This record gives sequence, C-alpha cells and structure tokens, in this order.
Amino acid sequence: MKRKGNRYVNLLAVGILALIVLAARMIFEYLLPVFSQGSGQSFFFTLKGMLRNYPLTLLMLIGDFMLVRSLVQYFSYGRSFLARTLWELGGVLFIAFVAAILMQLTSSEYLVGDTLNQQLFFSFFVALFFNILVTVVIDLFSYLRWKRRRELATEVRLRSQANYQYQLLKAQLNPHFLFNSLNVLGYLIHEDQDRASDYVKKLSDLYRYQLSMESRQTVILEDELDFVMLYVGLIKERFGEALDVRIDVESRWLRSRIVPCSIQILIENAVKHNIVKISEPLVIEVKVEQEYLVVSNRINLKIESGEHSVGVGLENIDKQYRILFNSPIIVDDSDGFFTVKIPLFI
Amino acid sequence: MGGIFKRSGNGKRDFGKANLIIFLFALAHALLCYLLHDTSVGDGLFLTILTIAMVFCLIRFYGSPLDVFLGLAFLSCFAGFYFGTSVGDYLHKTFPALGVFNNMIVTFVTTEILGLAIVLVVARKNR
Repeated sequence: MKRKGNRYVNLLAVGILALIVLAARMIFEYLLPVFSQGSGQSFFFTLKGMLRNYPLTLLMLIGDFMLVRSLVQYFSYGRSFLARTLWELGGVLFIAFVAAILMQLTSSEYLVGDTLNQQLFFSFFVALFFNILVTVVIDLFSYLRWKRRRELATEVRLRSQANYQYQLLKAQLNPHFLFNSLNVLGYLIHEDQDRASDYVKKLSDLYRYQLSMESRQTVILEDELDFVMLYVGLIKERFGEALDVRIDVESRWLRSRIVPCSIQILIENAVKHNIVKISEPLVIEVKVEQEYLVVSNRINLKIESGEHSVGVGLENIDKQYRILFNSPIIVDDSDGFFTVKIPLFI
Repeated sequence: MGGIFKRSGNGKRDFGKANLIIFLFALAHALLCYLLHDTSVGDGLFLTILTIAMVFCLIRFYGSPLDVFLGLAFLSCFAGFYFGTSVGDYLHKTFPALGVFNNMIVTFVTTEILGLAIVLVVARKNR
C-alpha cells in the first residue's frame, strides 16, 4: 500500500518536474525573445558578459559544484528523489539570484528604476539557465560515478557469495570428515549396531541440511542449532568425553537470522586447531550476549598447528555478515580464550 | 512499461528493446513535426512533451532512480531544440525543395542521438 502511494507521489513529482522543464523551454523559446526586444538586451550578449566576468563565473561554478556535492552527501541517489530535486532547484535559484546581483554590482553602468529592475531580471534568467545547465551536467557525472561504484559493489558481493557457496560445497564433500565418519561407522557396526544406525541417520540428516542450505543466504538460529547438534553428535562419537559443546540460547533468540553453517564452521575450526583429549578436554560454549551469538573456547593449540590461524572459513563468515547485514563479526583471542561474536538479526 | 518493454535481464536484448523505444519516439517526433511544423500552433511544445516522455520511459525501462530525470529532461529538451533548429535551418538553406522533410529528418536523427545518450547514462548491468 505504501509502495503504491510512493509510486503516485513519484509520478506526481515527475509530472511537476516535466511541467517545469516544459515551462523553461517555452520561456526560452517564446518569452525571452519578446522580453529581449522590449528591454533591448540579448540572451547571448548577456551570457557572454557574464562569462567574461571571470571571478563571477568561477564563483558560480564553485557554487554549482558545492551544491551537487552537498546533494550527494545528504540525499543518496534513489532515496528521496523529490526532496533532492527541490533542494537542487532551490540551490540553483539562489546561486542565480546572487550571481545576478553581483553582476549588477560589478557592472560599469549606473542604472536606476525600471531599467535596473529589467536588467536584474534578465541577468537572473541568464544566470539561471547557465547554472541549471552546469549543475545538471555535474550531477549527471556524479550519478555516473555513483552508478559505477554501485555496480562494482554488486560485483564484489556476488563474487563473495559465490565464494562462500563454493566453500560450503567443499565442506559438504570434505574428505577428512567423511573419512573419519566412515572409520567411526566401521567401528560402531562391530561394537553397537543401534548406535551405528543412529550415526548413519545423523550423517544423512547433516548432509541433507547442508544440501538444502546451498541457495539460502540466511537461516533461523533454531534450524542452525539443530544442525550443530547433529554435527556435534557425530564428532562426539569420535572424541567422546574429550569434547564438550555447551549450548545455552534462550528461546526468544531462536527466530533470529544467521548465515548458514557459521556455528558449525567455528566448532570445526576449534576442533581442528586445539587439543581434544580426555586429559585435556575441549569445552566450546555457545551462548547469546547482547544480540551477539558468542562461540568461545580455551586456546590449547595442537603442536602441529603452530600459531592460531584465523582461517578461510572465519574470513568467509565475516565477509557474508558485512555484505548481508553490513555488520562484521568480532574475533577476540585475549585472556587465553578464542571468542567469535556473530551478530544476530531479527 | 509492461509486456515487450519489460527488461529481460539480458543486456543485449534490453539494449535492443531500448532502441525500439527510442525508434518509436523518433518516429512519433518526425510524424508530429510533419503534422504541426507549418501550422500556427507549431511543433515546439509537443516535441518537448514527447522528449520528456522518452526520458521518463527510458529511466523507467532501466529501473534507474528518478533523481536524474530533471537533468536529463532539461538537457535533452535544450540540446534537441538547439541541434534541431540549427541543423534544420542549415538543411533548409541547402535543400530548400525538401521543405518540412528537412525538419522531419533532423528531428528523427536528433531524437535517436539523444535517446542513445540517455541510455548511456541510465543503462544498468542486469542482475
């Protein structure tokens, strides 16, 4: 309903602007020659005189440039077109008015009464046409620059999304994970067939979820946490009590939106880089703090992993948040803890 | 701008459709010029209305913001007026026998050039 209303307002505004252009064109073609004959002045002669006054011309150009700059700063293209156009028109009228007065003040002729008024009026018209032309040209160049920047941003966004989807796809086919899962499954088939069957079901659910996430940019936290529980259930078969994932999220946050597989990637990273032993268990906490989902673990790096690496996965999650929500994730590795804070969006 | 004048998402095809819009407007300009040029009403006002309509249609076709409408309409109308009248006068002196056809040709060519210039400004990459 609001969009429909906006459309009518826009159409009305376009109609008014079209009338303004039409009126300007008519004044220029029909009224200006009549006025010119009456006052004995010519449009081009006055324009030439104005442009020969270099300080005045420079002042007008600076004024026009500043006007467009301010408009770009305060009214982004495509946001409030009517307000922007009205300010633009108002600005040009003001610049033309000041220019006409300055022209008369710097003129060598001493005029009074009607002649002064007529000349002032004529100078105003000439300055108005000149300034509209200059402002419009600067504005169009500015628009082209904005358009190019926006297209570039779109390109970057699409590439980043494609890259993230590629990473997700790679994660689905992660041979290490599959190899470990099959080893665990082989062990379970001999030891406990019910657990083996449960394990296969969890594995298939996990892959089903990952496949269904391929084309989605965000998911609700509830679904993501279900997926995390599946994943944790699978890797716990391998690590047992050595891995403890504690999830503590209030139900009011479950409808928040999150980038798919982001928590799972963080848990996978923690397991990959830290020691996971019965004697040195890895505890991963997942909770919500001030509209952020916090995933943290004590840093206890494996010897072969060297210094703690941020990793491609984390970088990709960060890019997705910057693109989709214009908000980065927060990574902190102080006080012996590695903490990642993911913003939640309702 | 529904139906055939809706963007397809294919850059080349959309450019073709934009060209068709420009061509139709150029034809309308030429026809109007033929009908009204030698009348007491004159063709100036109506040609300006058609030019403004073309600017609006092209902006809508590419889904570009309306912020540039005033600028494009203003430039198109005045550039069209100057280019049209000056080249028209020159053609009248060179080929006086052609009469109003000189104006029709100039109006048609001017509209095509202006239309393509507008497309350069408002065309967007399809996503």
